[in-house]
Amino acid sequence: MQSHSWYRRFIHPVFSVAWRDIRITTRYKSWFVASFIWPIIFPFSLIFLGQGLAGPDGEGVESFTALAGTSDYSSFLIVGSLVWMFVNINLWMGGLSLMTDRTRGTFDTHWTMPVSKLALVVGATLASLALNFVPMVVAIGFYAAIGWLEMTGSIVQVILAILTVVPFLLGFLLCFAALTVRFREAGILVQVLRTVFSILCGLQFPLAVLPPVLQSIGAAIPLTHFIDLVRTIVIHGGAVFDHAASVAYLLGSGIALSALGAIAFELVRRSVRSSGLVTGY
Amino acid sequence: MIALDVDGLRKEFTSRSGPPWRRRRETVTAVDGVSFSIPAGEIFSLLGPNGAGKTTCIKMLATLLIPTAGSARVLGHDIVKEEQAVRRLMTAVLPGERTLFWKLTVRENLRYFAALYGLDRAFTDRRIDELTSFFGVAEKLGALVEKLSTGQRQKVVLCRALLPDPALILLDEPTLGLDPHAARSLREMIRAIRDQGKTVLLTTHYMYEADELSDRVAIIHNGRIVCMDSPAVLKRSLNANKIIRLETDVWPHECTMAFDRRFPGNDAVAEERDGQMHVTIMVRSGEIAIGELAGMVNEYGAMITTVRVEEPSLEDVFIEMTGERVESADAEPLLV
Repeated sequence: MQSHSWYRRFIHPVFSVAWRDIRITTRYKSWFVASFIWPIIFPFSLIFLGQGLAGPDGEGVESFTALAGTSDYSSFLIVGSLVWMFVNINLWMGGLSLMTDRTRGTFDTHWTMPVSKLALVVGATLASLALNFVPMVVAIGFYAAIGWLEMTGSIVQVILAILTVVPFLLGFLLCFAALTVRFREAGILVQVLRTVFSILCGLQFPLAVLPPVLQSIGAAIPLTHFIDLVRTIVIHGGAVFDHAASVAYLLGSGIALSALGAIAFELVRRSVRSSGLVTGY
Repeated sequence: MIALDVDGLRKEFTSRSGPPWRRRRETVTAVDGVSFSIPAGEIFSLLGPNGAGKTTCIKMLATLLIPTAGSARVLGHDIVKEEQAVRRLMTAVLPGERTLFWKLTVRENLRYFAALYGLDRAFTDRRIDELTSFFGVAEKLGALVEKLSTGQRQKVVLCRALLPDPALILLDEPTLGLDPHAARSLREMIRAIRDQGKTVLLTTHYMYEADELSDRVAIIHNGRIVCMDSPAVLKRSLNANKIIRLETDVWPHECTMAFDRRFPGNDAVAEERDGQMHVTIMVRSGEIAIGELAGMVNEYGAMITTVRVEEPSLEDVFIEMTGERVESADAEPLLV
């Protein structure tokens, strides 16, 4: 029987969409490469680049320490790379989920069903978060085992730190989903955004090397606070709530962006049904 | 009881073209004031060529598009103001092979869509067993959809549409792309769905399909309904006892004039297709002897290659109403 309860209308569909994406993704053999090989090989080039720039005797490490606040450049770069991968996978899976739905041919069917359309995006985001978990664990385990990543902080605190970025991520992906419904194609936007984030948020280098204007812009992006938080906990230890200001900024901006994303998505949903942009490819 | 009541439904699409400094807005009316009502338990077909407005019409009824004007009510619920209520009462099967997830099994697909319909697990599993048995795909429940034939996939799509036990089902070109055997089997299924008390709104551009399946048919052309009734009444309205179809190498204009003189009260419509002239003669008054007709055609240097005498079909109704054939209605006007 059809139920109108909040659980049946939203929560159950969210988990069903997430389960669907996890099931489909893991049925492709390439998932193994994405989860077990890519996270291991991806940070290598950055670490070797860092070693090259440090010079044969590591004299560059001193200036790196002055800029980054740590001499542990490999942990710094590995955490940055993993966050870059985290954002990347979420953009592709969560942000482009409705575009994938269009190209797959299931978009129109979903939109004629009584399910909340937000549930489709939230479910896809949940799936991408869950699928992200595997490469993170693989990479952290591998680099910790070979001694390139020194985990000073506890894994519980790292997970808590990751949870603080979820509202921001959800809001961001809702805005992104609205864009993909309106403009249909957003692949190039993903490419641009991940590069911009990688530069302004200092994912692969200390933020202090940027010109002051770009540093200010970067400091306003919640993702910058997230990478700082994760790096600090991984490299220096401590608890998430020792960084109350960053946590408050991440959660506050995340909740605001989620509300904005939900409104934008709803407005676009109505507008494309009127204009006809909801159909076609 | 009226399952679907459509009143003056209209949809305009506005597009912009040209460079930014000389942008031009162009408005196209895809559906232009369509009205009809479907009583519960009826198969009703919207019949027309590609581009006639059938799919736009069904997309509005499926709550995918918002009409520019007019209204429609599903069991009394407005498709715009009460879209969620409408979506619980009605399901839509839109065209395209990939309306299922190919990397999920049949059971996984059906459970997934049941969750989106808000169905509970016990009801879902019972319904999946009933429907897959009914459509003859029960043994495929564990198979990935990508391993099914097109016909089997279409049956699974129908299972999906019937999961929430809807009062109204919208089927947009359901047999498109199926082989003749699968299409015939699917038409039988659609009749069986109606026999379960469901109301079916079907769009098709296959005349025989509308003729065979429908309780009533609306012929739609350029966004408007040009006629609407049961297939039998529509064919009777042609006022033709039978149709003679000729294929000739040529059909000069003088031939049409001679035909009108020799067989007054009857109509001959000719069109060129595949290098042959196809002449449709509607016998409305008295009888036309084939020998006499052949003699007349020969007088104008034309050679008849094929003659068929048939009962009037919905295609003839369409030609009569619109002056065009269904397959060529987008492009080729008839030569008369």
